[in-house]
Amino acid sequence: MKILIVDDSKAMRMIVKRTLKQAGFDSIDCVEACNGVEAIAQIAAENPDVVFSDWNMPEMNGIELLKKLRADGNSIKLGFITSESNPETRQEAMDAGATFVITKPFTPESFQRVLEPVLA
Amino acid sequence: MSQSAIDQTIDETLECSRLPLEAVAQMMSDLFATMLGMHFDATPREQYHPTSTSIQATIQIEGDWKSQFRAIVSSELAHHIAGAMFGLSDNEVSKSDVFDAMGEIINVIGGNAKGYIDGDCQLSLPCVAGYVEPTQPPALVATFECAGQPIMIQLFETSN
Repeated sequence: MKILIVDDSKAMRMIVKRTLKQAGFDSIDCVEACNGVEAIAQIAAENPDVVFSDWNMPEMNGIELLKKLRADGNSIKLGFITSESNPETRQEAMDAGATFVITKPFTPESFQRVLEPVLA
Repeated sequence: MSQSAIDQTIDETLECSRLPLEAVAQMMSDLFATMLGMHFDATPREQYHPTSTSIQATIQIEGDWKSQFRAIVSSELAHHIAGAMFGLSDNEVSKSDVFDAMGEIINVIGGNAKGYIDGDCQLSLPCVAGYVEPTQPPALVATFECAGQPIMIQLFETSN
């Protein structure tokens, strides 16, 4: 299982990787990107199984990334890990084809609850 | 309003009608204590008085609620927060690590705060720099304790 973590914050990419391990997903191979543009290149190069994306990023944000992938016919699983906690954002994500939305701050338990069915 | 009048406003804990202080305290407790494993006391305490070496992280909310959030901490606490995020000791973190970490802190606070507001709002990218005195009185100000040091949150509303 390979996951692409997309976040402009190096700190947050590290916390996501650490929380995945704490949640028991310790055999996962993680690759990283800083924004949506880099993510598209990494998806082509690394062929990840799932994308975890932040929402607010420079260059290309998370929802633009998801819409670009779907417009290009790419159905890769993509979920958001974001501080954007309002219902409208969640609805916009799901309407665009997101697999899940996890709100920051998160815990290993919230990762387990949301990701077990996705990563099974 | 004069700078001294603004400073006097910031000396007391101020609550904002659109965003309860309890909600701010809870989101910060979730961020620091639950996610980062740091000690956090959610009881408002005596206001922090920033110095020229303090670090300020800022984020804007645009749209139906035009506002700005600022988190202000000492350089020492900023390094400690970065250390907790990166899993490093405080003296191992770089300046860019500190700026990255503080940017993520205010991003989480701003994103969570936005969730309390009805209407169409957009969150900016965070900005981290040295402390700058405000030019208007805040709508909300509170200081909490994180890892034994003060962290001050300020909210400025530019329109309704």
